Amino acid sequence: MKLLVVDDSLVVRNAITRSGLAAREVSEVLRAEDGREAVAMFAAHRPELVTMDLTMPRLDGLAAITAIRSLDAEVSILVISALNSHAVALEAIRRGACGFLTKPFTESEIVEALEELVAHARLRVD
Amino acid sequence: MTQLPSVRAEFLTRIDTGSTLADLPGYEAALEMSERAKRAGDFFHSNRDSPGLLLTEQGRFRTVLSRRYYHEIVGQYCGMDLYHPRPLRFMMERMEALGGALCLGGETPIELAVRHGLERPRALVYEPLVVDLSSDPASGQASGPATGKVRLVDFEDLLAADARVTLLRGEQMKQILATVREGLLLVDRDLRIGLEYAGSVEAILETRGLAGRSLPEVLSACLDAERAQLATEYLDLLFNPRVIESLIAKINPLLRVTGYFSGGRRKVLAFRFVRGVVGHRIRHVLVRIEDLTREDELARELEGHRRRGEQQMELAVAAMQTDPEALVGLLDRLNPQVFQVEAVLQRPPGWATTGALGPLLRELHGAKGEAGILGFAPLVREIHLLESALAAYQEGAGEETARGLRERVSTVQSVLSATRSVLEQLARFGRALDREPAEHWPASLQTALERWVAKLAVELNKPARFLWRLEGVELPESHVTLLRETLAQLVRNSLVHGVEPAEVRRERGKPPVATLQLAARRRPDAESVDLIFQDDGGGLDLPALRAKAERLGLDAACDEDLRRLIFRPGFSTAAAVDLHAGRGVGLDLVRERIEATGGRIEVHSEAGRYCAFRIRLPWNIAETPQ
Repeated sequence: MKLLVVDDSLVVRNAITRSGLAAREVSEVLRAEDGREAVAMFAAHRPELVTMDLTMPRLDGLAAITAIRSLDAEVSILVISALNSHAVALEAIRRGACGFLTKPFTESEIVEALEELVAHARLRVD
Repeated sequence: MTQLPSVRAEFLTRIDTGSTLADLPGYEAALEMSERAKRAGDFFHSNRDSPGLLLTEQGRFRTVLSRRYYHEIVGQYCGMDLYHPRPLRFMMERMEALGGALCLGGETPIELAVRHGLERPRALVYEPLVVDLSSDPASGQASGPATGKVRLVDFEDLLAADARVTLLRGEQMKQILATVREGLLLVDRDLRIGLEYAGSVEAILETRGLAGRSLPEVLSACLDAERAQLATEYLDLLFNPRVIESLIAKINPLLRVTGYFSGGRRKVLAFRFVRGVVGHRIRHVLVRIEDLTREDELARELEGHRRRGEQQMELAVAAMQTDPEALVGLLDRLNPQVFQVEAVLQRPPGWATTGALGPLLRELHGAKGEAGILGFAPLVREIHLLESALAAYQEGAGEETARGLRERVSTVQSVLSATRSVLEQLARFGRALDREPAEHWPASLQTALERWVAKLAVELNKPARFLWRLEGVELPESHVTLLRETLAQLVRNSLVHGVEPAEVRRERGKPPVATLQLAARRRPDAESVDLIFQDDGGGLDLPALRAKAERLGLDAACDEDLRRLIFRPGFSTAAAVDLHAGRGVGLDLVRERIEATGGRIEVHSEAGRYCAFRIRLPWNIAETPQ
C-alpha cells in the first residue's frame, strides 16, 4: 500500500515517514507540504492511506479531506493534528477521515495508529 | 394423564443459566424397527406425555418416531390399515428422506440446542431432539449408540427451559446493572437509550425513567449546549463504519466534562463509548458514565495542601531572616487594616468610588513598604495584590472587582494567620534549642535599611549602597517603627525615581554605584532630632512635576511649591504601577505620620545631583501613630 503524508512541518513529515515505512504492508511513502499539493499528489498516485495535518498554508486539511474524499470513497485518512477544538476535529472525521491522532505523539502511538489504518484499509479492500 | 404441567414446572425449577440438555426430562422408551407399527400406536395411546419413541436396529439407536409424525402418517387415508401391520421401517421412509433426527450431546447448553433445533427444516422444527449421553456424541448418527445412552427431549420442554434461561439472564443483568457503580447504558443508532441500564445512571444524571429517551436530549439538560452538540456528533460518528473506533477515542468531547444539576451543583463526569458490533454491523454503543466529582475534589484538596505546605515553607524561611518583633508589630497593624478592607465590601458599592478609600490605600502602601524593609517578601506580594484589588474596586465597584477583592482579603488573612503560626513555631523551636532566637535576627534599623537598599538595587538593576551616619546619635525606641515606615518609602522613591541607571550615571560623570545615606543630628534644644536622608541621583524632575501640576490644575508659583507637591495625596509622576512605586500614596502618608507626631518633613533637591529629605521629629513621641 502507498501512504501519503501531508504536513507542513518537515520534522513531523520525517517522523511519520519513518513510522510509515516501519508499518507492515506500506511499500511507498509520498509526502506533501500543504493541502493543494496533497490533492494533486493524491490524484496522481492514488495512495490507499493518507495522514493529514489540519492547519496548513494554501489549502487546509479540512478542505483537502473533502477534495480527496470526492476523488476516492475508499481511501483511509488519518488526521494527525493538535486538538485545538473538538468541533474542528469532529468536522474532519465527518468530512471523511477515519481517525484522529493528537499531536504531540510518540513513535509507538503513530506506529500503532498506522497499523490500525492499514488493517482498516485491508478490510475495505477485501 | 394430566400431570404434564406439574412435571414441566418441577424440572423448570432446576434450570439455571448454565443448564444443558442433560438437565431436561428425557424419554427412553424404544422399539426395534422390525416391530409392527401397531405397537407404536399402542404405546402412544397409553403414554400420553411421551413426545416419541427411539427406534433401534439390533439394540443400536437408529432414528426417532415422534408422536406428531406417527399421527401424521396414520392420519392419512387408510394410513392405519396400511402401516399398522407392517414393520416400523416402512413408516420411517419419509422421515429419513427429510433428514432424520437431530442428535446433540448432553452437555449442549440450552440456548445452543434451541438454535440448532430452530435451524432444522420447517417440517421438523417441533420434532423432539435426541440427546446422546455417551462420551462420544459425534458417533451418534452413523453407527448409533446403544439404547440407554440415548434419550428424547421434547422440543417444547426445551423452549420452556430456554425461556427460563433468558429470564434468569435478564434478572442477572438487572442485578449487575443495579450494583455497578459506573453508569452503563446502551444507545441505538437513533441515540435512544436501551431498556436496561445501570441504576447508577439515574443517580449520576439525576434523571429517572431513561429507557427509550434520546441521550442527546438527556445530556443537553445537564451539559452546556455546545458540549451536548459535540457529544451528539461524536456518537453519530461512532455509528459510521468508516470511522476507526480506537482512533477517535482521543477526540471524545466528553472525556472529562462539567455537568450542572439542580441547585447549581457541579459534577465532573467522564463518558466513554464502546461500539457493540453484531455480525459486521454496529448495532449499538455502550456508554459508560463515571462521576469523578469526588476524585476531582480530592485532587484539588491535595493541590491545596501542597500549596499551603510550600507557602508555609516560604513563610518560615522568610521569617527566619527577619526581625520577629518587628514582624509581629506589622502583623498587629495589618490585621485591623485588612478588617477595614473587608468592611468596605459591606458598604454600598457607590461609597468606594467617592475617594473614601484613600487613607486605607495609603496605610496598606505603608505596610507594604514596612514588609519590604523587613525583607518579608511573601507579605509584600500579598499586600501589593490586596492594594491592587482595592484600587480596582475603587475605580469600578462592580461584582467582578468585589469578588477579586474578597478573594484577596481572604488570601491575605490566611497569609497573616499562617505567618503568625510560623512565628510561634519558630519561637518554640528557638526555646527548644535553648537560645534566644532574636540574637540571630537582624533587629536594627541599620541592618534592615542596608538589606532593603541591596534588595531593591538588585531588583531594579540600579547598583546602590547605603551609608548609616548616625554616629553618636541613639534614636529613641519610640521612633523606630515610624522611621521604618518612613525610610522604606524614601529608599523606594529614591531608587525608583531618583537614582539613574548605571550607564546614565557614567555618562553624567558620576560613580556608577549610587549612594544613599542617612544622617542624624540631635538639635541643640535637645527637644527634637533632625534626620537627613539623601541620595546622589538625578533630583526631582521639576518639568515633569510642573506638567503634572498643570494637568491637575494645581497652583505652583515657584520650584519650592512644585517640590511640595510630591507630598500631596494621589500625586505621582511614574508611568506604571508596580511593586515598588508609582501608586502615589507613599509620600503623603509619610508626611501624615510625621506630622501626627508633631514633626515635619521637607524636600531639597538639585537637578542631576541629589535629592534630600529633612525630617524633624520631637525627641519624645507619646506613642506610635496608627
